[in-house]
Amino acid sequence: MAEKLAIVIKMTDEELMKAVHDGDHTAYKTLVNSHIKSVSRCAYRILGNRNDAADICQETFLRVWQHPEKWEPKKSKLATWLYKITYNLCVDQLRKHRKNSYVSDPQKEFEEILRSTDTEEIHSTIKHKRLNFGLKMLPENQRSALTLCHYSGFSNKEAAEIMNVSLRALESSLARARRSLKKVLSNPSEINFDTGYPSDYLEETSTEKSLL
Amino acid sequence: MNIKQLTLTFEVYGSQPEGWPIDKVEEIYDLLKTNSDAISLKKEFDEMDQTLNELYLPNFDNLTQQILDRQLPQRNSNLATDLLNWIWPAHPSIRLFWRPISAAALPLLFGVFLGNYFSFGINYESSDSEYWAEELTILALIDNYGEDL
Repeated sequence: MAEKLAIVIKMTDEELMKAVHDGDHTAYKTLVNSHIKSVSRCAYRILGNRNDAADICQETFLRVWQHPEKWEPKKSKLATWLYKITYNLCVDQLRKHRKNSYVSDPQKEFEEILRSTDTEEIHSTIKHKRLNFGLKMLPENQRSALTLCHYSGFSNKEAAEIMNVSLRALESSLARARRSLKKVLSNPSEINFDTGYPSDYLEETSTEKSLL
Repeated sequence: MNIKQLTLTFEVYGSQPEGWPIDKVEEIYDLLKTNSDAISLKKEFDEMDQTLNELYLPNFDNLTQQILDRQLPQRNSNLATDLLNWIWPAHPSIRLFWRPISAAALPLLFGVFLGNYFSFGINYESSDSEYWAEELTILALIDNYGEDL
């Protein structure tokens, strides 16, 4: 068993997926161990909920087990394909619950975040709380773009491929996300709680159009 | 490059140099050397990136075990699927060359099939070889066959 595990660990992604395709449980275990951390973090950042993120992870690896043949190594890296599955499942989850952003009452949520003494928030400073709130308030596409590029370390092009959008659309989402977060961080009073976004969020600046 | 362009570059590519487009790196560094607004802008974006990195992440330690402990479903398999997979392997590395070969061979197989069942107006019966017995009899009856030669 140990010998087999050693062999599996040395495998390339293609060999590993071929083994998974052949029903090799050791290969599947190696695959899960290699990618669980990144996939779960990505799902959590997009969904903002630990339990939902855990469900998405389980579903992601289940799909890999059931349809390993769907990965096309010539088209994308294994990690990119895994993130694509995860991203699509997250988007489906958000749509299922009909929540583009997962904050129903921004004003209340913001006040609660600032007052929060939950264990997960206890070590956070006001700055962290503000940014966490800002991240939660972002529309799904912006939050996903930021998650994939900032947290998961994908290039803009790879993130666009995962989200199945054009590079231009991805970069526009990224710019808007960072702009909104910067405003939330520097001046939270600018947040328009009716929409949940900084007041000039919806304005398409001419600068962005000309420079992108 | 001006401040507006630098702001947009940070918004799109982040504040870390490794994310910047190669053709813009030099211009950005030049601006950062000479412009105090550019320096404070980079600080703001750096601070935001730093804060983003420090945001809370829940513990997913048990998740790996939960996934591995889960009973994996049997893949849908029956005789027909197995036969199809044997004829037409679905694994990416194999199907890369096997599928084009199969696709290229299809017209050939179709041609063989058609040729086997239809004559397309070509009359094979005109061949003399099918009447060799009759011809031999006629030749035997001709007395002077070969004498004129």
